[in-house]
Amino acid sequence: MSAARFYARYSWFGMREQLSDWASGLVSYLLFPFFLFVLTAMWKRFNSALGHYTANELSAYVGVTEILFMTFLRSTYFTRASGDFSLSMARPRSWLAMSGAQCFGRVLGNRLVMTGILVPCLFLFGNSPAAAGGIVGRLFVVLLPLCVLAALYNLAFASAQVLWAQTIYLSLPFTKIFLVFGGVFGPLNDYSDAARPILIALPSSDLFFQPAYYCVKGAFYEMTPQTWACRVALQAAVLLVFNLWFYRFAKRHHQAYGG
Amino acid sequence: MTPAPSITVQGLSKHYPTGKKGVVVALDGIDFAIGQGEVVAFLGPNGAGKSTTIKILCGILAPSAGAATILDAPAGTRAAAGHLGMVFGTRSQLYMHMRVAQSLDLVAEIYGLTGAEKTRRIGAFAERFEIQKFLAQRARSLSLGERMRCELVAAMLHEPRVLLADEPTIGLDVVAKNQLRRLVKEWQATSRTTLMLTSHDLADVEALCDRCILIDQGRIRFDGDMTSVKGELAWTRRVLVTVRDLNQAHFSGQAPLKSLPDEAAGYGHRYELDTRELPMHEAVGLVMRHYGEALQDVRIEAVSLEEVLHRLYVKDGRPGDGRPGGAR
Repeated sequence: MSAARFYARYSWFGMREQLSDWASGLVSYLLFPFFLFVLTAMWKRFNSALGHYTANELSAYVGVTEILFMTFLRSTYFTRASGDFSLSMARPRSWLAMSGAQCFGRVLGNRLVMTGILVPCLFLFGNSPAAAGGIVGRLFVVLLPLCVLAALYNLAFASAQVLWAQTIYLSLPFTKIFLVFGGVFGPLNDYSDAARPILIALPSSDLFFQPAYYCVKGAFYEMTPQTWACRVALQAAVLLVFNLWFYRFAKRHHQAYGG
Repeated sequence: MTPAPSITVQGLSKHYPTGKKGVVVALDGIDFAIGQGEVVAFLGPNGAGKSTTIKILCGILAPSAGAATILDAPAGTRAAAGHLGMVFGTRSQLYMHMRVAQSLDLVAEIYGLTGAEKTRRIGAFAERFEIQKFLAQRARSLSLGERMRCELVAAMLHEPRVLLADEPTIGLDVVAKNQLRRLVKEWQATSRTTLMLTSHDLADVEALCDRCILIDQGRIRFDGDMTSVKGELAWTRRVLVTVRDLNQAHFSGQAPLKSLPDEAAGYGHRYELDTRELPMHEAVGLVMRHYGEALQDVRIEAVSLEEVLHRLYVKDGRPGDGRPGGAR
């Protein structure tokens, strides 16, 4: 079996494992439509006069960003990857590739389920079948590269866990950075003229704001699809190189942490 | 030509930094070699360096100095990893939310097994380790004993030439422990796989191992066969006498039969002797003559391995300073 086929299979296994753990998934799946309704209601209340979005578009924007954000840098991904790392590291396979493939599968599995939940929610918010189909269709277009990026971010935290006993505490501030600067709090094009260009230029906007804007409006904000794809590819390449270096460094300096 | 050792460790050291340029010496230049097909216990108190050695052999940790090889391949390389099987009592190779068969299928593919050969091996090992009925169950629904048998199968599917077992029976009840020991022993006898066992349960060690390596404070204190680890204590026997009368006097006639503190609220008199100085039949004769009709029961016990190791770990008498014999 070729290595690529094996890691693809491992990724598929990760997705199935994620979806078989209904107990942990159910809470976030149930909370997702609840968040969707609450956040949309809040935005309508506070931002209706300011934004560039209709009420329907706003609900779709919230839905897409929540799908992407609720499955980003979750500790369950990288603690799972590190939890069995001592055994996985002793196997004749690349730990980095195995953990990355597994993270990818788990993120993709979660996002697919949540996309399935989003569809009826879009109808409930008054989106037509054509509009909802367009939003979900465009989400599928960007989903795979975004899952690759999410897996690479998770992988950095998993590697950090090889170096330090615990990195779970780091995930909260990091996710908050992406929450604020990535457009999950509010669409970046609604921000002030001074802040907007800076926030749009940050890598975090490629992860949340730009994909959500694309799904809702059908085009990237002040950016061609090629530019967005290049930015994502560059981000992935940087993360990949960082992960390769960081994992080697972490493994060289790994401590036993007892037992 | 003699075959290459399965495991070779030469001058292996590992220092852990503790901050402010301090270090903990977990391993201090240890050397040992384990031949193919040997079953070796790797023992030591907590913090002795056992797990560090195992992790270096697995390639999880990098040594500070020295080298470790698995069948001539440097530890940590893919070639070495391909020869290794691992069973950790405190870590699982199974995916808790997946069916056992799915986990085994994936583990087999990790080691490059595919198609009919993969199916054949899973079936054969499932039969051998009596886990067929668990294959369709999710790992999380199994008892610890059932799960450990599945863990063993996961470790052996690729038919490793070296198996590292770290506390494989931890937390198991007596029945499950005995079953696991029997299965491992039967399997090892036929496959002739090298087994390196780390366990605080010395019954595991006595049931499975022919040789033991004692490590303490990062150094090898003893390396020899199981019979010689007891050293002088191998000749020591305890005679436990139960008497009818609380006021019964102790035997004090002959020096080689030393009296020990009583047990069982004064009804149990205890003696210790060196059978080279006082043959057992004479010792028993002395006891019977002394107690006469007051004698209710007599038991003779050898010194357990657990006690030997306790003495070695806790007291100043280390194997290295000559008490147990046969050190290599």
